[in-house]
Amino acid sequence: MTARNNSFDELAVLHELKRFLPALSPGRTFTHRNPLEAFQHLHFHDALRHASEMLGYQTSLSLEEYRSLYNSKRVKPDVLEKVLVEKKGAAKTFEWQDKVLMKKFPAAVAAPRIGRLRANWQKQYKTDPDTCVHPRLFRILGNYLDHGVSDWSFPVRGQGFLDSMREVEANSFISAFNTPRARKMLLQTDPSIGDLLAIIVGDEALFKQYLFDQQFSHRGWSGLVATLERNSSNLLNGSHITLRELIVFELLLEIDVLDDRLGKQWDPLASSLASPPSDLFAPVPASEKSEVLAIWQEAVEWSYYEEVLAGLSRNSPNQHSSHTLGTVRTSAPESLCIIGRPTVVRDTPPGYRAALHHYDFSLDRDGAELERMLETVVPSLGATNLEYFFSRTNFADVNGGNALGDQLIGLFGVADGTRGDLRTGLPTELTEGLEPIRLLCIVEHFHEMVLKVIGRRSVGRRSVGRRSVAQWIMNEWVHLVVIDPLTRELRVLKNGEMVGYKSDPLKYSLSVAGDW
Amino acid sequence: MFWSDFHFDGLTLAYLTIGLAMTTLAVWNGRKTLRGHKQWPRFIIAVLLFCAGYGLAILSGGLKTLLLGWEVMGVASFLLIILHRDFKNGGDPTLGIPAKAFFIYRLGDVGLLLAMWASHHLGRENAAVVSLLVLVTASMQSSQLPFSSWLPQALQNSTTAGAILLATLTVQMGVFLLLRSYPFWEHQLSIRVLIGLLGLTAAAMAAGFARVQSSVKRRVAYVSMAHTGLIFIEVAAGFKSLALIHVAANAFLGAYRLLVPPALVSADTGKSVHLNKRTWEDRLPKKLKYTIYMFFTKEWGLYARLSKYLRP
Repeated sequence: MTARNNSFDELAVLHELKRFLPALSPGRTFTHRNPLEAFQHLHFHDALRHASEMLGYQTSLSLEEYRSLYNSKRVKPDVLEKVLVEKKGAAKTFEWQDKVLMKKFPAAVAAPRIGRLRANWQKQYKTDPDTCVHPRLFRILGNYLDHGVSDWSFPVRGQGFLDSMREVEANSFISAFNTPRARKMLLQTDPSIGDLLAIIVGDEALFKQYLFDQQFSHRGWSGLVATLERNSSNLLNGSHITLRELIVFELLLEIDVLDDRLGKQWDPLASSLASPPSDLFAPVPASEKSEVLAIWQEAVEWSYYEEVLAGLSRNSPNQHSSHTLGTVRTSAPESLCIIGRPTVVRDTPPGYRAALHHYDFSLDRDGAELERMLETVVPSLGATNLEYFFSRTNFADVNGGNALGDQLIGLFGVADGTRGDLRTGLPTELTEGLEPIRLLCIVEHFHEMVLKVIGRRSVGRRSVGRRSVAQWIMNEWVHLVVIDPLTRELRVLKNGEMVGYKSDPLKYSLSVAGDW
Repeated sequence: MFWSDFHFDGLTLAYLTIGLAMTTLAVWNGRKTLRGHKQWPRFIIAVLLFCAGYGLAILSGGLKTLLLGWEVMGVASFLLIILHRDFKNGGDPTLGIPAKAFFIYRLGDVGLLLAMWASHHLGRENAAVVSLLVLVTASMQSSQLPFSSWLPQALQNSTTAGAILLATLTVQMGVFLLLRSYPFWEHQLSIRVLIGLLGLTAAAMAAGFARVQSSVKRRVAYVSMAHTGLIFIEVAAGFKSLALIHVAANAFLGAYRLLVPPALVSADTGKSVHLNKRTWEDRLPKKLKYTIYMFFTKEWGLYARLSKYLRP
C-alpha cells in the first residue's frame, strides 16, 4: 500500500482508485480481470483479509456455510486435519480443530474501514448527503450513458460528461442544482478535485480517503465509469466520461446538498473531526477468525482437488475402480486446468470439467513453451475463476436477496433496487450452489524446471503484465501442481516451494506423514 | 342480508377478468424466479392476500365492504414491496420507500373513511365533498398527481412478479373507484372537469417523465401512470366502456413490458444509428429543449418533496 502523503496528488489518487474499483463493463461483457486485482501483490489469504477489512467485501463464505459443507461431507475430515497440521503444526492441531469446528465468533463484525470518514457527516452534521446526491447523480449518469431505454436521449451529444452538463446548465432555466454556489462553480470555473475537496473536507491529508469513501459508496457506477475510461470506447451514443468528471460532478452535487441543508456557511468536515479516522490503507493484522476462514477455504479446495489428484497419481493400478459419475461436484467452471500430454488428461477422473492444454515436456527443454502457455492460460482462466469465486462469496451478502428486485438501467447495467448502485460481479443465478474454489493448474514437467520458469517470469522482464503471472502463482491466487513426467510424483507449490503431495488413490485421502 | 353487501355487474366482470389474468402472470413469473428462495412462501401469501382484498373490493356492494377490501389490498401491496427485504440486518436505510407507499395507502383509506362518514352525515347536499374525497383517494391509488411518486419507487424496489400486480392491478383500482362511484358524481360538472384536468396534467407530466427515463422499471411505472391519466379523462367524459378497454390494454401492456425486459447491450456491439435518432423535441429551440429536459429529468422534484416529510 502506498503511504499517505500530505500533499494531495490528483493523478496518483485517481490512478489508485481505478485500480481498486471493480471492473464493470457495459452490457456485462466479461472483463477478464481479477476482482481483487489491487490486492494481487499479497498472498491470497492476506488479500482476502485486507479486502474484507478495508473495502467491506465479502471474500469468503460464512463460517456457518463452511461448517455445513463439513457436515454434508463436502469437506473431508482428513483433508481438514491435513490443512490444520500444515498450517498450525501437529502440536496445535487439536486446539485449532476445536476453533475451526466449534468456536463461536462474535456475529457483529466491525464496519469496514471504507466509509468511516464520510460517516462523520451523519455524526457531526446530522445529515447524510448521499441520500440526496445519489438519486440525482444516478439519474443524470443513467440518462447520459443510456443507450436505448429512454425515448428522448440526453440532448447534448458527442461531448464529455462535464462539458455536456455545462452546456445544459448554461442553456436551461431549470438547474440540476438547487443552490447557486455549486452551479456557479461548474459554469464559471473549471474546479479541480482538490479545490472542491478543500471546501468539503478541508484537511489535505484526508482527501484521498474521502475520495475512496465517496466512490466506494457506489462502486458499481464508479467501476463502470473507470472501465469506460480505460477502454476509451465511446458508448453507443457517442458520449464519453472519465472518473475525474464523475468525481467533480459528484463533489459539486455534494456542495449543493450541503449548502441546501446546512445553509450558506458551514465548516469543512475535517474542522470538527474529533479524532482522525483510522488509515484506510494500513495493514490488516491477522485475526483468529480470518485464520479459521483461511483454513476452511483451503479445506474446501483440497477436498475437491484431492479426487482429481488421486486419479493422476499412478501408484496404484486400480485407481479408477471407485470413480463414478455420481461424484460430479458443483464447483465453478474454470476450476481445473491441465497442461500436459494426453495421458495426463486421460487420468483425470470423469465428471470434472477441465480446461485441457496439450503440452509435451520432452519437446520443451528450456521451458520457453511452458512459459508462453502459463502466460496465456493462467491470467485468463484465473480471472474467470476468481470472478466466479468472489461472485459466489458475495452471494451471501445483503445484496443477495435484493438481486430479485433488480432493474435495468439504460441497457448497460443492472441496478439493485434499494441503493440504486449498479451490481458488480456475475448474476446470482450463475453462482448459486457453487463452491468457491481457486483454479488448480496441473503442469506435467519436472518441478525444478517449472520453478525456474516461474522465477524467470518474476525477475526477468520488469513489465507488470509479465510479472503478474508469477504473482498469480507465487501468491497462490492459482494453485499449481506439478506432475513429474517419469515418476508421476505430485508436487504442490506452497509458499514458493515445491512440496511433495501424497495421495492414496484408494481412499482419496492425503497421508499426514508426507513431507508436507 | 350478507349478500346485499356484494354486487356483480359488467364492471366487476371486467376487473375480475383482468385480475385473473394478471395474477396468473404474476404467479407464473414468481414461480420461475422466486421458487426455491426463502421469499417464495412470503410471495404466495402476499398474492393470496392481495387476491382476497382485490376480490372483496371489486365485488363490494357498499363502501364498507370496499373499504375492507381496500385495506387488505393495501397491506398485501406493502408486503409485496418489502418481499425481498431482510430485516434481520436491522436498520434498513431504504425502508422509507415502502413506507411511502404504505403512507399513501393509509391516506387513501382515510379519504375513503371520510367519504363514508360524509355520505352518512352530510347527506346529499354535500355530494361535492364526498366526490372530492373519492377523487383524492382514487388519484392516490392510481399514482396520479400530486401523489405520483409512490409507484415508480415501489416498482423499482420490488420483484418483477410483485411489480406486475402493483403496476397493473393496484393502480387501476383508482379507476375502479371512480367508475363505481360514477352515478354519484355524474351530474356534478365541476367534479367531472376536475377529474379530466387531473388526468390531463398527470398524463402530460408522466409522458414526459417516461420519455427521459433510463431505468426500465421506472419507465413502465410512468407509462402506466400516463395511461391512467388518459383513462381518468375518458371516465370524466363518460366513455365508460372505452375506459374499461383502456384499463385492460394498459394492464397487459404493463405486464408485457415487465415480463420481457430488453436485453443488455455492450458498448461495442450493435449499431449506433438508431440511437442518434432525432425526436420531435430536437426541433425545439435549444433553451426550451434543455429546460424541458431538465424539468422532466428532475421529475419536478416530486421525490425530494415527498421524501422530505418521510425521511427514514
